[in-house]
Amino acid sequence: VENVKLLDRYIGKKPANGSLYLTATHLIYVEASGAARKETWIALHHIATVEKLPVTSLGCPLILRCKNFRVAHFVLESEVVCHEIYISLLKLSQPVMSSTYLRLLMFPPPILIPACNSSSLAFLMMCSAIYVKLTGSLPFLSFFVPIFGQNIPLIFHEGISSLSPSVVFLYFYALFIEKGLLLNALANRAAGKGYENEDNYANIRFRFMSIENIHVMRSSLQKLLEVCELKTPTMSEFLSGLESSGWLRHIKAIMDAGIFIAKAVKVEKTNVLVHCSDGWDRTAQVCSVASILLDPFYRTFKGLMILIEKEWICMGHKFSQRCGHLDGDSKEVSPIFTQFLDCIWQLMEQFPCAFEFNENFLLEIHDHVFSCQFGNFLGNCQKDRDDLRIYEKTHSVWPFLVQRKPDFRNPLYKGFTVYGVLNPSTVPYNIQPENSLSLILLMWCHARPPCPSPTPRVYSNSDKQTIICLKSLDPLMHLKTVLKCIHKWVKSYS
Amino acid sequence: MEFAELIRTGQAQAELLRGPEEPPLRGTLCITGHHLLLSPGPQATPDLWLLLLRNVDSIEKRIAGDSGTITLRCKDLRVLQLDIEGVEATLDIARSIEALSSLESVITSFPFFYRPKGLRLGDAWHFHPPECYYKRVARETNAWRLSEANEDFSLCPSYPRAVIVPRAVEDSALARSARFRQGGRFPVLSYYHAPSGTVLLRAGQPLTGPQKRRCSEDEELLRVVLAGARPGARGFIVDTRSPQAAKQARMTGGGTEAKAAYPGWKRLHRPLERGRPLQESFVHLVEACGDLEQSMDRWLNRLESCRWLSHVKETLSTACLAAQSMEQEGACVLVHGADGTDSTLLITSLAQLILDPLSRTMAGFQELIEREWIQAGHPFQLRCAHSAFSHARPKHEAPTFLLFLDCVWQLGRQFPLSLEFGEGMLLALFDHAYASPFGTFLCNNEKERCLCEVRTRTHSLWSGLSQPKEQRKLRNPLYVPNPLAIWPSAEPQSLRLWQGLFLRGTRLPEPSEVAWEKVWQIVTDQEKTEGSQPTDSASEPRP
Repeated sequence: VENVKLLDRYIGKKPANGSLYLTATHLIYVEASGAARKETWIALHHIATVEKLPVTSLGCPLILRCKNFRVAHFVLESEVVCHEIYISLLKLSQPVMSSTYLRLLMFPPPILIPACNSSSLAFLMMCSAIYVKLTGSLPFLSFFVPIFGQNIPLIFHEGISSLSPSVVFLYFYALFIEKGLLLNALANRAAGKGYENEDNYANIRFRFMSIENIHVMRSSLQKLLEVCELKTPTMSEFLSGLESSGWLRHIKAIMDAGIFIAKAVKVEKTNVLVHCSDGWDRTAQVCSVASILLDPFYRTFKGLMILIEKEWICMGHKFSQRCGHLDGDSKEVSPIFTQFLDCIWQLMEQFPCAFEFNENFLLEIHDHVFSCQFGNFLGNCQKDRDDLRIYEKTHSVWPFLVQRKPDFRNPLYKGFTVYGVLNPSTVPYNIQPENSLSLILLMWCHARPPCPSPTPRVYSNSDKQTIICLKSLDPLMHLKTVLKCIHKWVKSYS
Repeated sequence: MEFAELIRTGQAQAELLRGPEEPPLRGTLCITGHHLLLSPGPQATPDLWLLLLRNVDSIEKRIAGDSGTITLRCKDLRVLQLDIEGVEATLDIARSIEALSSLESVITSFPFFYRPKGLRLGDAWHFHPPECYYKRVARETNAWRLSEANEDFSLCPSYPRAVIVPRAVEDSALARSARFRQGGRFPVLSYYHAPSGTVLLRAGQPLTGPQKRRCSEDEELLRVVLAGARPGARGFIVDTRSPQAAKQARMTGGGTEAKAAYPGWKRLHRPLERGRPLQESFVHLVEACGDLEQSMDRWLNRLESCRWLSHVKETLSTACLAAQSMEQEGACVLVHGADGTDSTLLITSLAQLILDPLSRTMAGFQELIEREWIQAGHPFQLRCAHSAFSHARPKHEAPTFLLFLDCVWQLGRQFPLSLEFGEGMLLALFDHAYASPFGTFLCNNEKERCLCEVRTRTHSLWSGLSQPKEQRKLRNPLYVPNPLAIWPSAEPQSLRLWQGLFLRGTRLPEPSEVAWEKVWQIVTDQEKTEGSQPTDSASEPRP
């Protein structure tokens, strides 16, 4: 399509003419004038909504809202063409996959469980087997800190059944985090789920962190974006809109929970079991924030990639549903992962020298969660990915990001050893409206062509490094090393 | 006057808490005429801590058992806590601090006693007189001259001795125009924008009064300005009051320029907050920043209701309007409010920062502050008598200069490479405006400064800031000269709270200082490897 204008909301000057190309994967806009011939690429997967406005004197406007918060405002000459594009975009941006999946096993085959002695382990395996049959998930090790006091500090994912968990916690003084509200938990118990009965768990303290559910988060983001899209708002409109969106309140709640766990592990040297109602949304958020606070490793490139693989992808955060990759239930969509990235961003603002990567890295990851150019974030769980044969059919995003490491490096990074456990402040004004917004805003205003997808090719010798990198990024490898550490420690202690 | 009369107890044993997570300091507390000293004793490091008493904004004492606690809230927004042994000593020290920190006399203030090593009296005082700026203007155009009509401050007490006026206007006409303007502040040149040949003027409000008086000399002056710019040039009068406020001012003798009397000039009203509401906004913001226990919603609510960021937004967009008229519409701009000493200066100085690349250098920025704030008659002594913590009823206090610094900070955040000075410079200016060992911000105008002999008897802040050890803190390591105008965004999404200042008392400065240090390190390392010399030409005073 020729003679298309792309309106820029910032440079309010006369928009340039250009051409619009529609391919099977991208919408490409090329400016006709200018030596540089600026190109704007929009991956069709990124498009969230397409809106056609009434014809104006300029032409036929078409507004695309993307999942990475970009908004593109095109003006086309002919209404017929506009309608055709509108229809094709509607079709192309929402691929439909017909098969349905059973969510039986959410976790990758090898998982870590506490190994205290052989008998308790055997018993635990038995319990777990029953538990897995019941719920399809298993308590497993999320984080291990090589600091030793009386206890091994561990954070556990997901609730354990009420069969006889005292075996597991025989030697550990543990701390439970239930992240639903207490009332919710009681309601859940009535429905046969609920939280652990305190009587069954000796030496265990419960703590409820009030983090809201996915539906609240979704509407919060919706409100936040509405505030961002206000045309010339006054300062008070903006701030009160920000307040009513509640986005910052949620970010603070997640950070608070993460800090609480980090303190429990580091200062009180206790074990922590984290769960919410399902165990793949709030649990993942809180566990990964806590990991970042506790271990400088997770503040490096490699660490963050492993963390995302380990806590999100392998643990069955339902990327396909939460990101709305397929045309599915809109009630399952929620910016859970975006919030996690926002939390990292908050930490980066408070500790500018503690992270090896910069904000662009977060933005790039966020883009690719939605772009579906790589296989990592497809599917809802490991089972899905196995069924889809994602490992054979698609590329992983990580080697691609590693190639572009220089773009993502934080020049202020002071190295691995300078900061130990981070102790951020969550006093409201330290979680700045501006800070938190700027990540969303950055994504929203981001006007750059997405990188062209890498062409499939056979690994040659020169790619050796990439392969090594891929291997070392394997979360299971990481878990295995952790397991070795625990074994060593248990031996030295007993 | 004897300070000794006010000092009830010279010494006490005390412990000082300086803020979150800093180790407390134990030692002997001493009060001198101008300072509070804490000497940790002979066995410890000779690390002497000291606070200028003028910096104390409010003092709060609490007695518990046989010891007392004094909380000092400083004008630079820091909060200190002193634990003192002995009830009597506590009360005496609190009373002495109270008496000494509220001394009004300028002559007895610390700058008149401050004699640092390595600085000579009189240095840097003649760094930036109006003559220097006139030389720059004269290189570009012949339409302006330096008038010494105000030599004895008879025309306008708040103007410097020499001002830049249109060449075609006689001194006698200036005198009559001065009588027609509030405070004698007749229109003078603030900035000459060479690329478009347009000028920025500032003045006080015209004294039209209820009878709608006119003054032919004043009208002639503005006509000449337009004629001198370029043929067919238009003019904008930016009034920093709302139309209603301007109309009301007529009842008390003020008013605005009548449309018919000034052909070619168009009046624009851009209401900016000033005076007490601005001070209250500042007080509420600082209050909100000090509350550690509030919820997120409450904080956002308070941030909104204090309206500080709205003031920043309004100020920046008005400055953009003035700058845009000059740069893009080729129009001359006259800015005035009521007195022409507060919001007027805010707009003219910000417009220059936006347009003039030279004013964004270290020396240029100092010159700008000297010319557009200090010599232009911003009443620093009245405006900065108290900061946000004071319990005294505000009379003339207003954080206008702070608002300017905040706007500059926003500029620096949006254009991190274009300002040669960093956040440290802005913080230092804020500190020194409220309490300083230097004489630069003393008194309300040039006339008073002459009477007090400030120039000969105190040191200039600019010579203090030019010492090499200060440079790393003040300069922006990323500076690259930018010859273009920098257009800031005044949208709410682009503005931030100046955390480095407002959260001073509650936040650890450490991570951001480390980051700043690291940036310096990277920049100097890079320069070393490239073998190029650091560009220090910009730091030298301009001829």
